[in-house]
Amino acid sequence: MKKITAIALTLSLTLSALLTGCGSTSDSSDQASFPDRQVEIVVGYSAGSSPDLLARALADRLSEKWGVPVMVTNKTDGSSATAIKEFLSTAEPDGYTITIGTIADLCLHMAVNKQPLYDASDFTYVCQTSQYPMSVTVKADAPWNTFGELSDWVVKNPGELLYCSSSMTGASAFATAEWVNTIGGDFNAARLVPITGSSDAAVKVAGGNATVIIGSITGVLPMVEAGELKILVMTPYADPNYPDIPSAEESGVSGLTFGNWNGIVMPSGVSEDILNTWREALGEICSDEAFIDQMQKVGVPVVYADGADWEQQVLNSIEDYKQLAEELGLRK
Amino acid sequence: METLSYLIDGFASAVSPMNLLMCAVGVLLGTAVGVLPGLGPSSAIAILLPVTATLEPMQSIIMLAGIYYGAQYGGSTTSILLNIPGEAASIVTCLDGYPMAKQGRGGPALGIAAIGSFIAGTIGVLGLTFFAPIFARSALAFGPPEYTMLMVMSFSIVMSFAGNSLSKGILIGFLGMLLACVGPGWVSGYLRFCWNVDQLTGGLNLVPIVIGLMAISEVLKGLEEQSVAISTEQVGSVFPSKADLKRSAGPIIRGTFIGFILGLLPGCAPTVSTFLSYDLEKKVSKHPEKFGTGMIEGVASPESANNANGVAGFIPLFSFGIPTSAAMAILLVGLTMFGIQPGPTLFTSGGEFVWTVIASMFIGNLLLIILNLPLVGIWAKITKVPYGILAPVIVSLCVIGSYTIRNSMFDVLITFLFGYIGYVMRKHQWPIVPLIIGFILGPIFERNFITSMSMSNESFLIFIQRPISAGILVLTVVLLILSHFLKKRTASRVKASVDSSMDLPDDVS
Amino acid sequence: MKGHKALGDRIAGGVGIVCGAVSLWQGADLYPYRQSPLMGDHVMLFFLGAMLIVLGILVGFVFHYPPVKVSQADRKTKFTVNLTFLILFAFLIVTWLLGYVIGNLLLLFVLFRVYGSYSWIKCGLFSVLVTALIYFLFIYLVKTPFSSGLVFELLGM
Repeated sequence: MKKITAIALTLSLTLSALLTGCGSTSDSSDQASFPDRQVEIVVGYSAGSSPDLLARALADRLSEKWGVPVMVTNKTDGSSATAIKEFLSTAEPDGYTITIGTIADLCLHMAVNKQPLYDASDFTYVCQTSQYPMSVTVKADAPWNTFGELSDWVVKNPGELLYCSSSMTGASAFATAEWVNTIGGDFNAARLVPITGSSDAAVKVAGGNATVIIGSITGVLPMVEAGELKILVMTPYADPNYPDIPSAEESGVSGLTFGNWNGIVMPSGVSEDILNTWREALGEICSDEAFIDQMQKVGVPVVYADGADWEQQVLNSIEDYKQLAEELGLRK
Repeated sequence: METLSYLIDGFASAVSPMNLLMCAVGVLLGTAVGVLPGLGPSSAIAILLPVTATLEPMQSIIMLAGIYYGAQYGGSTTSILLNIPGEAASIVTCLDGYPMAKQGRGGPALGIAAIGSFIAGTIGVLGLTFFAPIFARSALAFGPPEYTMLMVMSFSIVMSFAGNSLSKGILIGFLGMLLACVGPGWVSGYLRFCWNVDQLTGGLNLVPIVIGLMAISEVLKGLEEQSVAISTEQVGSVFPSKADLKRSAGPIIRGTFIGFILGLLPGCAPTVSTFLSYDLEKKVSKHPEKFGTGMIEGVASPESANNANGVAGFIPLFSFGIPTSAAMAILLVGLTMFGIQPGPTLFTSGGEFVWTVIASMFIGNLLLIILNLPLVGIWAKITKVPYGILAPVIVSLCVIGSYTIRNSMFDVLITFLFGYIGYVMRKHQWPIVPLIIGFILGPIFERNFITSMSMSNESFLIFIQRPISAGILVLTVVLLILSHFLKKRTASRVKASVDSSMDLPDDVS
Repeated sequence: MKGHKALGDRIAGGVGIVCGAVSLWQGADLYPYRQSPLMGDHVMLFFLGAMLIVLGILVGFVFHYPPVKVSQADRKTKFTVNLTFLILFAFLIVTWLLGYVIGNLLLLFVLFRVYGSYSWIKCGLFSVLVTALIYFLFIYLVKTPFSSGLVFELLGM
């Protein structure tokens, strides 16, 4: 009897030790020694795009800092929204997998779809890494020399505005819609010129086939330098790298808030400690001059923001744009 | 002239040992990958991009350009020898190249492809050097209505490839267009034909479809016919004969011209120039009915067009940062990653970077000829490899070719599906090429048409009011009438040479 | 003399009609999101839908084409071809479960047998050889990311 009990005891002790050992490996690696294995950054955009370049630069810095390999995976067999959906369904909330989203993924998707693939509550919001002010660009020989003049014209001539965007629910469309709404114009009368990217938009505007493009400045710069286009303002704020270009506010149109940004998110339920580790690391990287310069060169302006404030901002944006989409009949 | 001196400087820099090495390595790697059936320029760049990431910017771009050219040539090799195009632009090369290979004339076909590409590339680089700014500006005059009309014209070329049955060809062409509608719509951004399948939300990609329709179906067909090997003919002379060269001179020049002009237009797929140049050759030839049986003109022209197209694409890229094709898009990414700002100043201020790249493109073309012409004999021997070994390897490579485009096994599924579809189509003698033409042209047409409607406030007059657009429309009508008469002429010629009366389908009157 | 209607033409016509109908249906779904009647995602769908139905009817039921010789192989070969197609799909499933390397190994193994009728040993040899080459070139040298298979992921390997 004693022997059997002894064996049984030993066995059960060993088993429970093993089991708790298995269980606790993930726990202990969570808190005490995060990160202690490979970290993955999922990007729903193809190699060479802004989010991708950002991810790769961050991956470099992070692996240097933390001493673990940081891998970037591009998930492009679907749209960026489905990449996020897949990310949410496969990633553990253990801080080892993160993803970078743009305003379209993290905001507009929920604003435009009555049944979005995911919701704000599915995420742990880590931080914002970059913010892209948008340029308002028209043909070089167009009759308007200031944003104010253009705005007046738009209000007086509903139905004449040909704006560029990837679709009626794209970022540029939202920016244009907000603007036209704010100045009291009729956005529903405006006509869309679909584009495949900001350089395509530049061609359309320079060729006289579209009136204006509100979008990223990098795509239009070459044409501006060639003298085919002129930039009227930067919105929603002036870009410190282009001090000659006034902001929308300065040009007499206030109240514009729309601008593209990149945010880093994780699945909801990540522990406070890990979240802070991430924020610390990213905050440090994003305030490093060299990093900021490097990113500036490829057209990614680094603007860091985190914490409850930023999160609230994002949630507010979602609500605001939901409303805007509703008003414009863009919500399906 | 200033630009000439920049070009010369560029050459001086491009022949520096390091750059030359990068170019050579790129060309070799590209050819090696492109020669693998199922892998084309797109896959080659996707696979080899990580390799170039570790290099200096200039060297990286030079290598990428070399890879692209090499892969394009490698793709032509498989088109001619195996009837498996490396990319959509090589499809047309299959039409006459493969019959030539089956007759044991694979060598001359490969040779002419290389020579035509080289000449086209040279002329292209010269055009680039002297006329870049002019071309760049004039390309801006091409707006949505012009593109719409260009697409209408290109689609009318479908008739060339519809064989004897016009209505079937058009039906299949429209099916191709429908396939391209899968994914987000241009206007609303809402999904079309996706119905809960996540992987469809990005739309269908061209390369897996082409690989399936042409490569896998070819392999399935070979199984059915129990081929021993592709060519049982003696592999004849491996170089093009004097006669071949003479016949190809005209097509090469014409192809270069078409390819170059179309290459200036952003948003006009490179494949379009290959189709148009092939069709042109058919129209000017004394024996249009022989196309598809091994006419060397049918290889020379599209290959030249393709290469000229590629070179011309650099003009919008460097002048305005506008990529005209997928490969250009990648090069643009390369430029962006290295912080180089495209713009007209890049051309005229003697930016060392641009001219070195252009010069090394030319060198790449030269290297292709030097390295590959001697190898032609070896490549041609592939046609004698027993099918039992070749076929499974091809299938395996097709899997990689499809997968690497978007790192997606779903694309491999698409390839297999279209492999079966292509096989069935071939059995029943339905033309395959219109499906691909439709798939490529459909989105370009749709986007530009609805933009034109937006611009003109729903008025069709816009197509006539704008001079270039009206011009293309007139050209299309002229070409259609010409086609009609040529068909009648061919039919009557055939009728005259056949004793019994011939059945013509009802829809060809 | 009019040719008879080939099965192939009927299928083509049928496919055209069905696809056309689906296109019209999807177009109707998207009509509310248009900018204007001729500008919206429905335009192309309605156009293609109508054309496909019309052409489908013409090709499938109206026009007569000269008889086309559809190459018919014997039963065994037909069976082999269909089997090959099933093999391709089996490959996809195996790859999903066990990863690309194992999937490719098995695919080649079976295909060498089907195409070349080599002995099982030769098949195994060839498939190992080719897979090894592919592994070396694409996975080791260039690091193409292939999934390692669901089963292995679940096992935590």
